[in-house]
Amino acid sequence: MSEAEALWVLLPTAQRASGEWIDDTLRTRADEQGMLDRLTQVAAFPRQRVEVVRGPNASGQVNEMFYRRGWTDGLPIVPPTTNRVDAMLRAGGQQRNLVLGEADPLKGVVTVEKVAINAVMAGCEDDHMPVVLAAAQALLEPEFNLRGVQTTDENVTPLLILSGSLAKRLHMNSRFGALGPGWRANAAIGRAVRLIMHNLGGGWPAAVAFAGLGQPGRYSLCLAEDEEFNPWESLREELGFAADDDVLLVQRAESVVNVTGGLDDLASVMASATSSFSRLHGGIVAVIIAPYVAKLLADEGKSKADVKAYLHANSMTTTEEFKKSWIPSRLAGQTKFPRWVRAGLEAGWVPAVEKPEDITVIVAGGDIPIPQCAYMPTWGFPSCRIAKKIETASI
Amino acid sequence: MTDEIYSAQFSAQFSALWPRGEKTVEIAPLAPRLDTLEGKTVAFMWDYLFRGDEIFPILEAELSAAYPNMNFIGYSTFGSTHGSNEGQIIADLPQTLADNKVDALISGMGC
Amino acid sequence: MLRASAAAEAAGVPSSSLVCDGFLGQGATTAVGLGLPNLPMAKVPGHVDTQTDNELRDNLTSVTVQAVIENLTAAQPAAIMIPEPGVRDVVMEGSFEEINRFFYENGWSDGLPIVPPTRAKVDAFLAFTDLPADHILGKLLPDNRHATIWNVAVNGVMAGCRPQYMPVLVALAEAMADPGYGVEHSGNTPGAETLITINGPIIKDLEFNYEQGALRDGFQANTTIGRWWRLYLRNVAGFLLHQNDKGTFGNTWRVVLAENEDVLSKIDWPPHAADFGHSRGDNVVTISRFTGGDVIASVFGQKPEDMLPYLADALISQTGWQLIFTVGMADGSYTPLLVLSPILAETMAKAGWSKDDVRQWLFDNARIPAKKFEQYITEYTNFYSGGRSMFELAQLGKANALYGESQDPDRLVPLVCDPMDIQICVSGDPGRTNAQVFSHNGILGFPTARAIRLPNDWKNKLAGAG
Repeated sequence: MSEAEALWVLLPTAQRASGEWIDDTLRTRADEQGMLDRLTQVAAFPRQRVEVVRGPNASGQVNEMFYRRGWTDGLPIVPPTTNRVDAMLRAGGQQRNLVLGEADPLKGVVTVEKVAINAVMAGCEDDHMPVVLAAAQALLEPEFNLRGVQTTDENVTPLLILSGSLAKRLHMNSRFGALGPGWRANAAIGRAVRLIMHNLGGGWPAAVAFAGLGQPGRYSLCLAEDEEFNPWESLREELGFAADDDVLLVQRAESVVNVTGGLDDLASVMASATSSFSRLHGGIVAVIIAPYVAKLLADEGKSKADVKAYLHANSMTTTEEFKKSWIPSRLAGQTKFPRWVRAGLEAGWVPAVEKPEDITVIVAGGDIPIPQCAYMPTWGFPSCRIAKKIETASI
Repeated sequence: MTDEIYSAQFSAQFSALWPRGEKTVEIAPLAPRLDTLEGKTVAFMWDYLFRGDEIFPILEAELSAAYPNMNFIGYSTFGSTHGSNEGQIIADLPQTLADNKVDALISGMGC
Repeated sequence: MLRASAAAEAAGVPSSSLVCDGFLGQGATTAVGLGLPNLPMAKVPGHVDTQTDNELRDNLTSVTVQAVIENLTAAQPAAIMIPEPGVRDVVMEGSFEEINRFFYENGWSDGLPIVPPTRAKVDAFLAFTDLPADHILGKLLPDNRHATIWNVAVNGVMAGCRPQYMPVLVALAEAMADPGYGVEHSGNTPGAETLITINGPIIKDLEFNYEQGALRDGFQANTTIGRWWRLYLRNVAGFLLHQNDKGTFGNTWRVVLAENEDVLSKIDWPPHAADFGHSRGDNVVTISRFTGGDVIASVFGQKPEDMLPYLADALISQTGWQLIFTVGMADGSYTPLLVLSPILAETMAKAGWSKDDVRQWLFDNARIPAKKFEQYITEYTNFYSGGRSMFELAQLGKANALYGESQDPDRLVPLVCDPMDIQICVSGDPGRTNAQVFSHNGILGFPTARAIRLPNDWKNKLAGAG
């Protein structure tokens, strides 16, 4: 046997339904933005399904090549060899050539195989594939507005919350450090979703995607709802699923704002961290309640609905404060806010969202007496809260 | 045969050629789109498959609801786009469309 | 359907093409081949045949109408060309196994081992044609790629053909590219498969099997050329399973059917190629698309009159939905094939019957009640949904006059419009009284013939070949 490695890698990039490779469009865009001195090999690849890279250090070569072609998030990837992708596909249980849709904005055709390729690259384990597939399908729902998410100037990213016992089996973290690094499921599944948006949709930062700053959540924003610390009904039951179902919730989230404290602190942050753009478009926000706070509230006899109502009622900004925010101050009179905002302005107080149901609430995080909660504002339209039941074959 | 000779036989190198052929067609631009469907004449063409006879009336009704002053020309004016006359129908199409003052075409059914 | 839209666009009329979910990839691929990669399509969710009326209405009003409006009024993005390997490029260097794996993973192989197409091997094929390597034989839909001497040879090597088969392959590529054949239909859902027949002295030159087992693998010429056909459909015409090859089940490549010219000569029956204007002694290939059919075993009888009723019945029993190619979707394009074993043909010829006599008898007697014919094309398949009877269609000139001779639903009508539409070949085990019927696919693979051009000095080249 030869000593030199040979890696048979499948290409993670996409063609449009009409056959054009999105990289050709991306090359034009990248060139316009002066990015080709860093991404030196954009669109320079064999237009085939599989590429053979021979050693030594084939893996390193693949990493360098993929980076220079613009196919990564800047971190090293796992070379998507045919063997690895085949294993991922077996775990996903779907036919590799099944078309799930076209990813905006460049409309790359999303097949199950392409999802698997990007999942491998992200570092997913085979067992993660059903979750990644569910997430990919959620991105392609019109409600998600992928085109908007990819091309907006704001820093919105998909928020993935897994509710159900699958989370434990996949070792997805719902406790200490649930939004930070260290757990493969949290890191890789979220990362797979980003690579899918990047490689199949072509949402390349600074070339096609013009978010002013973006955010670290664009590497991965994925966690599990905690079961044991949750005194109320689970997220999946709230959404109408059975307790023994596994459900992935996908919605749009801007930066996570950490809140040390309880409901009043959360409400205060919600009031001020919600932009006038968010009030213009409405939408669904997310709140993470720390275990300590959840227990206190439950002991007081508060339900989850009570929590949402409280947050809604107390996340008001004053009309005066509102008038100082970007849109009213710069585009006074030119923008018509929705009725609920106008009603609030007249009453003197404008909530963060239209109604309590527009707040997704889960319990997660470490159980400590100085509680760490979180608020994630939303972006854009239409209102988005997508729930996908995960079908797993044999986990 | 020893393992070495066996593997030498099977590690012969080949330089394999591409088995496909050059794609030839010039990209033709699409016709300019209409500014609106209001007041326009839209023709239906059908390959006489897959329930076009049910689908076209529904589309006609929906489009008329959205644009009250549209004019429609039915598929029977043109003949099947999937019959033995297909070539002739398509060859004659520019004239046929012009004769009928067609502004836009809806063609079905690809299933 | 998309061709109509493309023609409208070319004439300056914006179009919207209605496309079911499952067809989108195929449609987009076709659109690329038509030079309009951005031909706008409006999606109809699901598959219409299995939806209730309400479901169909809901889908149309919630998805399709808006897409149609967008197709006709919103600016469509400009198209760009797709960069690809150069036509003479080496795409992979490696071992036999690596080349095979590479070709398979890239969709260039049928799943059996291919012979790695190297320059040296291709050159050996090029020696058997006088045409230059970059000579263009035609353009193949749906990918709209050039069929060239070069890529015919590359695929010939891959299929396991011998270099001396090259003249046959060239003729086949030309036939495939003939617009009259309709290669663009090769991915349609009925999944019909091409049958290649061959006539002429080349049968013996290249050692085709034309006797027992004529339709079975085992002889290199028949087998590898049959395989080449599908490789070429895949690599140059561009048909890929689960993408734009939508055959529900499909068949796979058929071995080439060579006629028994010794017997034809003996009984003075013309070769199959004579249907296309060729003569005995001409080297000719013909192609047509067929589904299924069956062996017609033990055709008993000492006289044609005793044997033919069974054969007429065979044509009837092997013909069903294909009647839509006689009336409904097309006018008289159904041309089934009857393969007679030599002994059957000899028996008929001995009684003084020519091949055309046999055709005439079958045309006159392979008939079914009009209502049965109509049942196939309407009630069973809904292929024809215009609501008119065959009689009315004939009156309107939309069906052959043969179908309008009366309104009696029990009147017997023919399966085809002309005796010459019944194709007959002679091959198979000379001593067995079996026949074989193939059911034809009408306009979706119309019988097409091509003369085989031999290179100068064919005999010597052949003698020098392996």
